[in-house]
Amino acid sequence: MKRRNFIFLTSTAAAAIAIPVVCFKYYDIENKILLLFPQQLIHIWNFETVIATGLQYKKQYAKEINEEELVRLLLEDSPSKKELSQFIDKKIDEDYKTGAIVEVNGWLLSVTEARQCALFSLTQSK
Amino acid sequence: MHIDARNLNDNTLIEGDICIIGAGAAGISIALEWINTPYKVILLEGGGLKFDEKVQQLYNGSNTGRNFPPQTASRLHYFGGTTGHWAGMCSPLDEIDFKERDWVPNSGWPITRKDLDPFYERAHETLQLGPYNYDYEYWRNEVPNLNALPLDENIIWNKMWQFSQARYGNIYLETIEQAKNIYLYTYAKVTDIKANENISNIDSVTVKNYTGETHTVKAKHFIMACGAIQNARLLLVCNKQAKNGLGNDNDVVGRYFMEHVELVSAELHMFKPYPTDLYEWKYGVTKASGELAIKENVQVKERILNGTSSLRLMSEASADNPLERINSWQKYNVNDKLDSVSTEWIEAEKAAKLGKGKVYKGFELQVRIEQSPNPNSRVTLTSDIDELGMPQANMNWELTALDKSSIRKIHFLIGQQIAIHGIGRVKLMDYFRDENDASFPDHTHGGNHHMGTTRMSNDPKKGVVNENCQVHGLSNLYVAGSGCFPTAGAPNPTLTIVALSLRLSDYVKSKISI
Repeated sequence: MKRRNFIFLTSTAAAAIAIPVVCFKYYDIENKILLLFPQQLIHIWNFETVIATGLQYKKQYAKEINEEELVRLLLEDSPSKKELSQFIDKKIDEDYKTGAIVEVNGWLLSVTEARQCALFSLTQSK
Repeated sequence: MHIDARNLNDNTLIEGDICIIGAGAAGISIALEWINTPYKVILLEGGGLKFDEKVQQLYNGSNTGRNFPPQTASRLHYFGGTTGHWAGMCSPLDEIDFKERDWVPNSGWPITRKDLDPFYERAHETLQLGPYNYDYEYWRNEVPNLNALPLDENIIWNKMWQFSQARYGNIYLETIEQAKNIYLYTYAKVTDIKANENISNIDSVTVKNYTGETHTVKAKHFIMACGAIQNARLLLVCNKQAKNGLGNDNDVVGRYFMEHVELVSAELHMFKPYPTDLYEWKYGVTKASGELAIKENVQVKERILNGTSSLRLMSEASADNPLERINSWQKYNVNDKLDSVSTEWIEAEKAAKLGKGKVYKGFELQVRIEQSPNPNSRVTLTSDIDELGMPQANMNWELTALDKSSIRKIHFLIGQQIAIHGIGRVKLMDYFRDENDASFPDHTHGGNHHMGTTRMSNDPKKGVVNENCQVHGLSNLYVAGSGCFPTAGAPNPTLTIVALSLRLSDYVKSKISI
C-alpha cells in the first residue's frame, strides 16, 4: 500500500471501525490492515517506529510473514457481533495478562500488537 | 578527646577497654554508644580530621575483574569516612534478604529482619532520619503528591526510601572530642594485628603513619570498622602467625565480594503524562521517595534476586518529543486519537498546577539489585605495598548469569504490569534483550557499596564472623560493617551497617560487663 492510499484509507477509519466483523469479512485486505492498526502505540511511537518494529517482528517470526497469515492470527476467535477494535483491545489485554509477550527491538509488546506492526509494515513495503 | 598520633613519641603504648579500628559510619556509630560508660574507648582513624591526599592513596590497589572504579575513588580515608560524600539513601533490607533461597547459592543470614528491627530503629536516630516507617501509605499521607503508578500490589510494591544528610565528620566530631572516655587518635593507621600464641585472642594492634613512628594499642576487645575491602585486606595482611591471615583458616576472607549492580535497564514510555513526586529525589529536600520492587512471592516463583527499579525522568536527548510525534501521525489523519493525546497533556498540566506533582512522560528504569554471592568475586593481596608497608588489595569483581537474568525478569514483570494497567510500554536496553546472554556491558557499575568480604555465618567454613559479628576462632575480634552481609538486598547499605554496628556494640557491652 502506498502512503497516499493509506492517507485516503485512514480518513475513513472512524466509520470503518464500527463495522461488525461479520461484514468485515467482505472487505478487502487493505481495509482489514487499517482496522488492525496498533491504536495505543501512537501515544508513544512515531510512524517510523511502527514500521521498524513490524519489520523486526517479521525477521523474528518468519512463519507469519504474509498478510493473510497475520490477518488470520489477528482475527482468530473473533466473535461475529463484536466491534473489531474492542475485540483487538481485549485480545491485547489478554496477551499481557497471560504473558503472551514478545520482545521486539527491546519493546515488550503483546503478540497481537507486534503482529499489527508487522501487518502495517507490509503495507508500506508494497 | 582527640590526639594526633603524629605528635606521639615513637613506640607509644596506648591502652583501653575497647579498640575501634576506623572512624566511619560503623566505627563512630559504635563509639557514640560508649560515651559516659566506665570504659575507655580507643577510636583509631588512619587519616586526619580532613581529607588528606597522601592518606587517601593508602587505599590504592589493583583490579583484575570487571571494570571497577579506582579503590581510592569511592571511600574516604578521614574522620567520618565515606559519610563525607554519601548520598544519604536509606532503606532497610527486606525479610526475604535474610532467608536462605535455594535458587541463590550461599544465601541466608543467621539472623532475621525481626532481629535487626530494633537496631534499625536506633540507627534512625544516629543517622538523623525520620520515623522508622517505610510504609508507602504512611508517607503518602505525610508528603503531598506521592502518587504511585497504579500497578498490581500483589506483583509490584513501592519500596520507600528516606534520606539522611548525616556527614559524621561534621555532626559528631565535637561530641567525640568532648567525650571523656572516648580517645580519638587520628593518623593512626592499623597495619598489623597481633594474636596470642594460640591465635585465639587478639593482644594488640600496630599503628603507623607517615612520620615513620610505630605505636601499639592494647585492649580487651577489638572492632574492625574499616570498610569491606580494608577489613579483608587487614585480616589477610596479618599472616605472620596465621599463614592465610587472621580468621582465614577456611579461605573465606575476601571472598564473596558484592556490589549493588546499578544500571539503566529499560525505558518506560507512558501513554498519558502522569503527575507525581514519588519517584523524585533531590539532595537535602526530598523526605521520602519510592522505587518499584518485586513482591517476595513473585521472587520465589520466578527464582530471581531481589532488586528494585528507580524511575528517573528520561533525559531530553532520549525522551520522546510529543509534538514531533503527533506531527508524524498528523498526515495519516488519525485525528481522533491525536486529539485525545493533546487533551491528556493539557489535563496533566492542569493537575500539576493544582499541586498534584510534576508531569512525567517517560522514565529511565535503573535497576539496583543484589548480586548472587560468588566466591570468585573477591579481594586478595598483591605484591605491591603502600607507603606504610602494607600489601595492596586486588579487586576481582565478578557477576553471574543469575544477576543478569534477574534484571531482565524484573523489568519484564514491570513491563507486563505497566501494559496491563494501560500506563504505557517498556523498552529493554539493548544489553538486556538476549535472554541467553549472561554478559554485562562494560559500563556496568556498582553503587560503590562494598559488601560480603567477611560474611556472616555460624558455620566457620562458610563465614568469617558469626551471628554476633565475632571473627570465628578469635574471641575478642569483631567486624563491623557491610563486609558482614551474606547477601546484599537491594537498598544502599549504610542504614544496615549502622544497625548491625549498634547490635554489635550491645553484644560487646554484654561481654565486657560479665
